[in-house]
Amino acid sequence: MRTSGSGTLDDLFKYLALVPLIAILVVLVIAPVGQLIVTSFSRVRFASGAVVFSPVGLENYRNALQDQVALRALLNTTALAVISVTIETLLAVILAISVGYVHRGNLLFRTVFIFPMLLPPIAIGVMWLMILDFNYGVLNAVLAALGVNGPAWLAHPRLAFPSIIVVDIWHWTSFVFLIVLAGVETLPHELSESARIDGASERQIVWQIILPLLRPIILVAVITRTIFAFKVYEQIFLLTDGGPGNRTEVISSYIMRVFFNQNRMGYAAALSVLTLIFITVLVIGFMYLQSLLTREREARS
Amino acid sequence: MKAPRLDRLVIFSILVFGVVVTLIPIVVVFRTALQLPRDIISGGLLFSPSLHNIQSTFGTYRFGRLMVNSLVSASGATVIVLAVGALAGFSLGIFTWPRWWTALILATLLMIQMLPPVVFAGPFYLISRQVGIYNTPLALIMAYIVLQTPLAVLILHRFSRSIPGELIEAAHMDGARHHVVFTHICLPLMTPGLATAGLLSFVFSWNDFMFAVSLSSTTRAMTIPVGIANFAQDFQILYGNIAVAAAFAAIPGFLMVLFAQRYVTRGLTMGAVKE
Repeated sequence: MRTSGSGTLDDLFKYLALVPLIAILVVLVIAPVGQLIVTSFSRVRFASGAVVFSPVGLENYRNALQDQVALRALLNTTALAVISVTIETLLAVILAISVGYVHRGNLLFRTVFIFPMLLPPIAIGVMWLMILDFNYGVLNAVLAALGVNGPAWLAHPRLAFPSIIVVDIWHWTSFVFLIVLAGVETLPHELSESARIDGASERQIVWQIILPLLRPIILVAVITRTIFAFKVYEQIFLLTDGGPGNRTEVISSYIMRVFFNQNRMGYAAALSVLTLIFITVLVIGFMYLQSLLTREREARS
Repeated sequence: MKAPRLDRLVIFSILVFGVVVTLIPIVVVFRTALQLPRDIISGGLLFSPSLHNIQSTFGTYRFGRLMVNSLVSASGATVIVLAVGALAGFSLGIFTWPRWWTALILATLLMIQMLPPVVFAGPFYLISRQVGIYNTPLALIMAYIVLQTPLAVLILHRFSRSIPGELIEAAHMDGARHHVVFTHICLPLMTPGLATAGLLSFVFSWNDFMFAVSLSSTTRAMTIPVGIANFAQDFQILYGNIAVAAAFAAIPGFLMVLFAQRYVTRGLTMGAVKE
């Protein structure tokens, strides 16, 4: 027989087990976001070690709406997300379907293609610095050996942004690959087998059987990756630091600069709140789109 | 799947091309790590390898200390994230809660995962200054807990829901209390989930740069990625040292993809794909 005292405690276990998570959400997420909102309406400075907030009303938000660099950062980030994710998806789908065809060596290919995602982004920046650097980069050394004077890939106004996109593609194709590969591995083999017996070419099988079956998981990968693409920071910090002349400035690099280098903490907070709203709207929009497409598919089948 | 010969050739070429492109940047870093400064500057394709950079990175630049900091912050955060995640996963997955409540918690976690971490950088900096943990590994642990808890809870919730209900009922019939069911039945069954969540939480904390750079200012708390950035911003860019540091920073990810790939794949697909 259980005693009534420990019985109550036992019933409480369901709630007690959730307390740490709720505590973290309240103390480390809700409170900081609350503070962020307060900060965004203030001017912040340090006075003898203490943080002092003085209210300025809507000033920070008014500045943000007229800030050309902030607009530039938003446009750059969006362009980076759209261009990189499109190419990453294309490459990842090709690689995942190809790996699905391989029996021997399958593990080797997967290992190599998944690897970039697990590297520290700052180390990825280093790798590409050693390739793209104007003076000591491998790319320009190879070009020099061919008798070509390589350009300043990271400092040239027209080349900096495409260079960043190349790095992003190298880094994140791995993520889309991993998700799409999970789909490839659950494909029913019987369908393509019977099509093959009926004399379908491999190309027809890929276009008419494999790709339609992969569509839902590709959609998930694209949506997740697009939202994650708005987090881009480290490689840009290391390779171009937003330059030349804001051409590679993104949301994160700009907010970090405003907060830590310019010490305009209230203004950085306002930019962060706007980012938060923007991403929330984006996420809700994507979820709505996804549910629409799922319903349409279910209606058709 | 088995394809005709020509198609097989095309597929193989695509894959080999992919492997080469993926490996080039990695090879370049290892190459630079073994080059003497004069070989890096001369840009020649041939050189004799040297351990000079490794010695100077650990000797002159106190890189060992940065490694310790990286280890302490990443593993500290991982232990806490796992404890919180296992308990929350157990509570949400085994007991009956109102549907809106579970949905609210899971949606909040997903949302945190989607947000660009930069929105937390400012607040965490101010909080760490106010609480007095700025420039200590504790500040980094605080940040990594927030960043890694969502994925861990989502993974462990999924795992705890796959535990057969009969097992738990049988234990209750035998008079076992909930905490005993948790420690003796659920935790052992959730081991693969704990490994998945733990490995991902460790490697992503270890890889972080944004919070390490905003919450530390000296080698007291600085981690490897911050060291790399400092090398890169020195007035004379220390390529050899950067390359060595980057190679060491890549070790956890490298070990994971080699020895724990199953967990990585499962964990990340779980985070992205709903059932």
